[in-house]
Amino acid sequence: MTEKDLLIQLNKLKTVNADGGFKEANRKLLLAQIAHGEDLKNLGSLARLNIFMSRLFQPYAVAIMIVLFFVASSVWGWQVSGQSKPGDSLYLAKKLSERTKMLVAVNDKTKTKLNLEFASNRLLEINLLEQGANQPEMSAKEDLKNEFKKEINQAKSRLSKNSVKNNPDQPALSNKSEDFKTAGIDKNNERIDVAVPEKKVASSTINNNDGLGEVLEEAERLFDMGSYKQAVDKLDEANQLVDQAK
Amino acid sequence: MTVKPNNSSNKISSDKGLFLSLKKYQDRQAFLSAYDLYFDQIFRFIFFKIGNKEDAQDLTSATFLKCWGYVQSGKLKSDNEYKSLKSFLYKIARNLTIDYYRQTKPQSSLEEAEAIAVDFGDSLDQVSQSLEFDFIISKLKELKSEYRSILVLKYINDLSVAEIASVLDKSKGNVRVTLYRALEALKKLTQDHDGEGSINTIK
Repeated sequence: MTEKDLLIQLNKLKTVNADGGFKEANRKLLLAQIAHGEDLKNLGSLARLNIFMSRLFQPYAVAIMIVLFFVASSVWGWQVSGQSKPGDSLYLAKKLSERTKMLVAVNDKTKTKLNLEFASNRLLEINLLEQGANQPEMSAKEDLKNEFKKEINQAKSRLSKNSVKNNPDQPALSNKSEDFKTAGIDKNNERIDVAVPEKKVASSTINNNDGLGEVLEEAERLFDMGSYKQAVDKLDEANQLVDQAK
Repeated sequence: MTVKPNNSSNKISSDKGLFLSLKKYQDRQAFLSAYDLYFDQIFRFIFFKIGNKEDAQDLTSATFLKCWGYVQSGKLKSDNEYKSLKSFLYKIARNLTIDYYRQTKPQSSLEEAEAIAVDFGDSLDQVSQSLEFDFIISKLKELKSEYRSILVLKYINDLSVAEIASVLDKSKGNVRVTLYRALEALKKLTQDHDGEGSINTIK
């Protein structure tokens, strides 16, 4: 076979085509697909912007709604749990919330303020228990009282630490500052020295801390007397003093 | 914004006009004209590469769809790599064929995909029975894919050497050499056949 014959044979292969029906059907299909795209293109600019925005922000909108739901439910829960007292279903949530607040507090000042706030809460809870129709359980009341004392002591301790930090010349709580008193003579005629600190440093430093210690002492005194509302007022006053302190 | 001239492409039939219309105005009518003009060519190119009629039809369809995707995305407007619509379509078809090979034989490299021998099976028989081209098709079948492609592009689909070079990513000189070798290889195969005295198989 010559080259010419070969080329003639190859040329005849031009008649190799796809199925006629396929070409037509595919043309219509392509036209439909293109037309769909064109329809989108021919939409007004406002409609296109609308589609674009909805596609862009749909995932964000869902995320925002979820976050809003959680925030709203947390706020609602926090408000409701704020009014709760021991025995209520939301009291646990309130305690957890307090614990979390204390954990995330960054400095002593904030922690002291929280101690005072929680002490106030305990007083209000005791008050709520006493106002309730049922006779309050003694153990619950006792627990609240203990917790109040604990919060106040923690607040004092923090204030004491702050005071020592700010005034390094102030003697810290140590054996050196303690006065020794003679207790008596033992059987070998030797003296027995018993160390009895005359005053806790914490108290003394609080006394020097812009009258804050005095206010706390007053609050404790009112608490012991059973004047819970007045004690709460004193704690609020103490909180303001902490705010004013550097 | 570019304003499309009225009835811009209804009467355009040249490759250059269609390409310009697609690039500038994303003209749907120009695209359909291109489809009518090049569908069979692209089909033949793919068919002689892969040897399966149904798959070749699907890949041809995919070629045009991909082309429209490029047109719509505006990439074609900024891309000066392609000088003609024809070579652009062939390039897409070639890439799709390579992807097809990789899907069917994932381990094969580009060179392997190009050089792979095609088993035309029944598809080619269906075509040849009706067209009575048994002999030449059977010889084409024996050629390696690269030679077969270049012969199809040059002598069946009538592409210029420059267009073939653009489609196959080769230099014009390389295309000429390959074309010569392909033709020689085909000639040798047919001569061997003549020597065996079975030329009468051509109906």
